[in-house]
Amino acid sequence: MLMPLMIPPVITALMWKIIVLAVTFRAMDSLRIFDVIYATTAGGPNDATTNLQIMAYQYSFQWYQMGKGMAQAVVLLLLVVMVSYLLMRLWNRASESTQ
Amino acid sequence: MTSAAKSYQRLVRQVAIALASIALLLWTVFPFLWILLTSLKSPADIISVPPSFVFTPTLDNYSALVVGEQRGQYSSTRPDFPRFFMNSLIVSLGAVALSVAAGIPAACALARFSFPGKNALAFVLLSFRFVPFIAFVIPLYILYQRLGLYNTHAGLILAYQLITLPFTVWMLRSFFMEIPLEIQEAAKIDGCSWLGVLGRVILPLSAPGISVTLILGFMFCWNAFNYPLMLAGRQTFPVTVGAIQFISYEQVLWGQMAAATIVAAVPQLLLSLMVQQYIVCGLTMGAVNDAGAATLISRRASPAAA
Repeated sequence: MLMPLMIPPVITALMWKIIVLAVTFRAMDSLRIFDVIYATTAGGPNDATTNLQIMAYQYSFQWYQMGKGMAQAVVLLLLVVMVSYLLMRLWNRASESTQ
Repeated sequence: MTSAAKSYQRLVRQVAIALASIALLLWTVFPFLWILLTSLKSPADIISVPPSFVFTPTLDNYSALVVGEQRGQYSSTRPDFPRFFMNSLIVSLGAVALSVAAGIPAACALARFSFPGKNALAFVLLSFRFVPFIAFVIPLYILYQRLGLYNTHAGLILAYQLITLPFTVWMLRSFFMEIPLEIQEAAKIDGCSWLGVLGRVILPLSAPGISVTLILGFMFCWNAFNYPLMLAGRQTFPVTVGAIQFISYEQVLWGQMAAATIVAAVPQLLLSLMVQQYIVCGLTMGAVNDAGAATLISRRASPAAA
């Protein structure tokens, strides 16, 4: 019944590069998300929805410990770099296999 | 397979696709619809449980945006929404104008010249997109306090370049690269200087691309929340941060906040209807369509260059 709806493997093989790229961009965006959390919960209740970016904001702009806030920002940056590096390796492999 | 079975299968497929698109549409449009309904409700209707879908619509929330009203009385202390709207206009237009003025020469250089460190420079620009904004905003905050740029339109316009400039340069670069080299060479043979080539050939030919870049950049600026949250004060808040101001210690003015959101969304809706077919291609063009960018990304995986 659902067979006609399934995407043929040929298409997924060709799309693989774009899919990895889309995943990369979304992963970056969700690692660095700030505005949605700030506007809805502001990291609360307590710190249940706090991510690194929110924590860095709280340290630097609520408690004015700019150095600690900046350190957290750098840690987050390193995290983003690592994740993007892994995804880019995947992207490389995908683009090799389609060429 | 008989033809009847085949057509039945096709029908099932079409119905399934239609149902899936309707579900997706509901999923994406529902929050907007909810805000629209909230902006037309009176305070009692807004907080009623279960939510009321049948109510007498009122435009009080919209008029309250202009005159200020709390609990049926005029209020002088209110989020100054008309001012926020003007701030958004000034800052977004200024930021887009600045980044196009700076981006056209940059994109032209990256598209047409070769010089050492060209790819590295292009990549550094792109990598701004990956850096967490807080890593930019803390130094900017300290710097702006000392320079007197904190809580000014000029300061915001400069900060917005982090959003629009990389995007503008990469978009314009891919548009410029599509122009055939032959046209440019013909213009040079006819005696054009490099600025003449830029002004008489490249700019007129990529005018549609430039206008799409302008509009998309304007929308990014209009949407910006993080930078103005920390670098603007009550006098320079744009609509995005302004809408949050309806949450105060005493109460949350849901109706007025919803009305503010709807009014703030109107320019974007109009613009996005205008450039509908370009938006998707524009958002991905810099990264996907451009073979140069693709190899660049793959060769230098780490955005640490920023």
